[in-house]
Amino acid sequence: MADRQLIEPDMNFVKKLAGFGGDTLKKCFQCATCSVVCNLSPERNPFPRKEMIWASWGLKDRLLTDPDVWLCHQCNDCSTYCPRGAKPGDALAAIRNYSFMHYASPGFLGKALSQGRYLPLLLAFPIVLFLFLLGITGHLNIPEGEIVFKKFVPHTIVDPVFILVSILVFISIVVGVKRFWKGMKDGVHPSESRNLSLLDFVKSHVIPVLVDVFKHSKFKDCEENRPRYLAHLMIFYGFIALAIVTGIVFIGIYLLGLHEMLPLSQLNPIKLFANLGAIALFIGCTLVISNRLKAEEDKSRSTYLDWVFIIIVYLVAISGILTEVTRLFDVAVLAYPFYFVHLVLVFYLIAYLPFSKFAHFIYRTVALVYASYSGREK
Amino acid sequence: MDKKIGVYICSGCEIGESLDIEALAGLASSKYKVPVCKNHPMLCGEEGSSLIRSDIEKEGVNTVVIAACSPREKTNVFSYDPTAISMERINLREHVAWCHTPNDEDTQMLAEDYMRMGIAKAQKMATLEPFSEEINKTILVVGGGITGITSALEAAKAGKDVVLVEKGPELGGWMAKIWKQYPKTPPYLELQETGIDSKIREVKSNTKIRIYTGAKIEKTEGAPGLFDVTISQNGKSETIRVGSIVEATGWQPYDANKLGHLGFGKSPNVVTNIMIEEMASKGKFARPSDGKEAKSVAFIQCAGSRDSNHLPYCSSYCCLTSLKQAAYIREQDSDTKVYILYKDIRTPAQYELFYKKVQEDAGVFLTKGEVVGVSEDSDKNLIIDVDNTLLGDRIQIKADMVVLATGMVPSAGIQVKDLALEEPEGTSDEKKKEEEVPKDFIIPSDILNLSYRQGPELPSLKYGFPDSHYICFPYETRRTGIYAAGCVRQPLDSADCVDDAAGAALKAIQCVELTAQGKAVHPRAGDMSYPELYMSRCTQCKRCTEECPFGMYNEDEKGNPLPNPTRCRRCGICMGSCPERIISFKDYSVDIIGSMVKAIDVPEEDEEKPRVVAFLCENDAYPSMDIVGRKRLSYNPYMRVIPLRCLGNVNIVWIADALSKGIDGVLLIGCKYGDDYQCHYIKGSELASYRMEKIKETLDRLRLESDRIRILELSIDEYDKLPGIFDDFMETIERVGPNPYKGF
Repeated sequence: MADRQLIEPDMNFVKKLAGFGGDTLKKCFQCATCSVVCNLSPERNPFPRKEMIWASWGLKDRLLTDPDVWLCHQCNDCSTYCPRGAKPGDALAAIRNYSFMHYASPGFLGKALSQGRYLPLLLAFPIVLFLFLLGITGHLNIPEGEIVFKKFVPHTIVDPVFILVSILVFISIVVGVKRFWKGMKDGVHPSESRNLSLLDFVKSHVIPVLVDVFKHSKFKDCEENRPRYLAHLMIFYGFIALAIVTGIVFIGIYLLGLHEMLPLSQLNPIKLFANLGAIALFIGCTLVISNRLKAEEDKSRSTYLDWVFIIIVYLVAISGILTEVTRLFDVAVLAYPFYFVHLVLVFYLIAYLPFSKFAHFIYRTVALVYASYSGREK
Repeated sequence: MDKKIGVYICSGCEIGESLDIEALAGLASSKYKVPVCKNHPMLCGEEGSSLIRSDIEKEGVNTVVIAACSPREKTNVFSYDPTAISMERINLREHVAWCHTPNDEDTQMLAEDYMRMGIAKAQKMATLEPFSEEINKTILVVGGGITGITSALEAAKAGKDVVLVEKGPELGGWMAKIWKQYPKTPPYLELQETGIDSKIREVKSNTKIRIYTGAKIEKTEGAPGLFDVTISQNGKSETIRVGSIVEATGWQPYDANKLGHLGFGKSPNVVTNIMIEEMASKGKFARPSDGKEAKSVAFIQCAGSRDSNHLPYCSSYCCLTSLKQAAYIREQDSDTKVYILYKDIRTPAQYELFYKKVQEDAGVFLTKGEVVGVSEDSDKNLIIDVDNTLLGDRIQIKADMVVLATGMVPSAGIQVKDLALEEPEGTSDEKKKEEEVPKDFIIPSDILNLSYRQGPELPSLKYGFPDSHYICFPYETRRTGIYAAGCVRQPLDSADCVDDAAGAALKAIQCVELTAQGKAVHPRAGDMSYPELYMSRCTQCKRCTEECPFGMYNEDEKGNPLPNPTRCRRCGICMGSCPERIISFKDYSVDIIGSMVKAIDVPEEDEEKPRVVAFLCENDAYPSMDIVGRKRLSYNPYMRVIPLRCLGNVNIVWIADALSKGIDGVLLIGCKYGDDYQCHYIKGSELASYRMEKIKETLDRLRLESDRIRILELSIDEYDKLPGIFDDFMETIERVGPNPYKGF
């Protein structure tokens, strides 16, 4: 056993977690029912019992470097069976919410994203930015004739903004993931350095995890909350479809020089794929929101971070669909404003990705890979 | 007055269908010449019971023998004034008709033997004359804490005069020393005032309560209803007479000086939960070493409790007290961290709600764990090493102050007087043998200073708490008329003390009221018999004075027993102890039971009908037999059961009577003994088993097989074992063969 460790609880961390939805975690009396009912928990040092006492003692360092926090897919079996109302599912979600803020840089953005009072400012930024760019290039009007969005917002304006933002986001993510990985390596479930070639690493740890992610197999193991499986699956594949379409269009315009490829015909398979993605995203979000509204308060409660994220995604889907529909019906006065709203929301989603709940797909995937790599699995 | 026996045989409840009632009646009237013998198909009905009553009134029947159901049934119907009428009940239903083959020869013989035994007993029973003396009904309450005050108030409200003695200068006890109490009323969330002040005012203003503060009891002489208590106060002594006593002298905290392994005495910053109360009333939680405000406080639970090197038991209040004190500290400064390191958190019943509330405080950190050391670093911070924590490993915690949650030591368990207990005299072999019975443990704690032959205080069982029959009669002690209540009896919190106090007050009242009527208090409540000694044959062997579990006998200088009948529980253990057989009750004696044994008809050896007499304790074994009957379990019909008040009654002469009469075996079944004893008289079955060991040795010397005697323990939930026990013993008897004394 390790040497005796000096424990210094962080009372503020406990209070912070309470603000992120972990306000019930102090109720835990360590019976371990949660760890027993959890289908995802490993047999050795199972979660979430140990996370519950670490959290109630405010042991921030342990929790932020604990891959187990991310192995949880929040089915809330634990919260359903908890005899004390401690809601371990919500507690782990709160720790994850805190992690987004902790690992992403710059840190001030993380703080801003976590508090409702900064939401107008965060939304105002892309609005002002786009209005300014449109203003200085003389595009602040509804164009005449057939609705073609680049007449309103030329690629030369929108694309550099998104490319720049994407690069910054990517850097932030890489920095965050590196800190996260190192933290886990030195943390509560340490992993010895192994001489593993990158290829072997990808083959034996990354690929199987990604397969799991694509199959949503972990989600399926969650019993108590089956409806979430379908909802999450639809959002997931909706996003993937839309990302693929965006990629194809990007390649088409910039690599193949097909500057006039947009708008695509409705019969184009790419367009068909895009529409399917949009519909999947819309239905998925609808399901998530309806599930949450139906959710029983004593099992789980969604926090500000949960709501703001799903609503932004929902609005992205809705504004995208409305943009397309109004364009097809040739209602220029609506189509162009919808397009503008859509752009602002997409900006929000992408630019703030590392600081919002959106980042969960990155941290969870990394944690799953780490768990596989360090042998932290069943 | 001449005895006139009436025998009444009931033929209801299948008795008539399985037995020849006429033959039974014939036995009574021809062999025993009983003047009145009647049978009835339903003796417990209106007609049947008035039949008996009219014989009593018109025919002058003064000894009633009822051969019907178990004596434990229909007690309201078959109830007569014991000062005028003797009654014996023969159990033909549960012990004969319901569990043996109907109309069988052996069944009939069994019933006839029971008739013989019952009539033989009835012939020798005398009516009772209650012990009467001028009984004082004042209740003495010793100890002026929450328990004593409550007891005094409860007794006074019930109309009794009360004397309340407190050794300290003020009433209130520990409750007056604590700042606040943890919640005792719904919703069990907020700290409460102790409320002791208003109780003190109430007790002071009650005219029925006489209060002595700064006082102590020099001496307590006498017996229930007749206690003479000498109280000294301000250098003056006064003797008052009281009827019964509530001992509510409370507790002392476990001596923290013995907890050096937890840092006490090594660092001034290691304090006790008692010291925290003092700090709380001053309003500042400061490190004693430098007066710096403590920004982190660690509570160590079970400090010297549930620990084989210290107090082995749980004191029940420490968990809640530490949670309460955590709340004190956190309410005063929300930045202070509080750690609670426990073995188990024990917050029974609704107190769980308070535990939950404190637990939810962000600044309270709880873990199970084993504290292995407390040391001081160079900055006078305390470093606590804890193993096996819920945090998953061995940890170390830094704190400004450590609080040891110390447990309760009963005041009766603290040896105050340096008093060597008198060693019982006698060096004979028999005496040495007897000493194998564990001796009573009486700690000279200077509380009551009883002038009892067996010692000055209440006998204790474990850990210095006065012995009480915990399972059945928790308020009783082993001194009749003296009731321990509150923390001196068992670790309790104040809410439980209040309940305890009321219970003890009721028992004390019951004691004086029954004693005034010449009745036993407990557990044979209402019994008017009491032991009488035929002193001219006493040999001063002192066995009765030593063996009475209740200290009934005092002794004069010559060693003669001096009975105090109001102390007596009427168990008859002295009757079993007396080698001269001089101790008798009017309705129960060595001779009476011996006559029952002798009344058993023993068939000749060639009839191959062995006989076994089974002495059964009427508290567990006999009711178990009744259950066997109700369940219609069948067993060997050669058993003859004699109920006893306690197995401790068994006088060796009965065994001799049985064996010399040709009875093949003697079975004795009593209650469980040992630390978790179930004997209603504490030591009866245990004494019996030691006495039987001795008699077995004697039998072996006489070349009479000691296997013929068997002594067993049985609790009532084991009733289903009885038929097997009988069968097994019968097999042994068959193996050993017939008693060679048969036919002599």
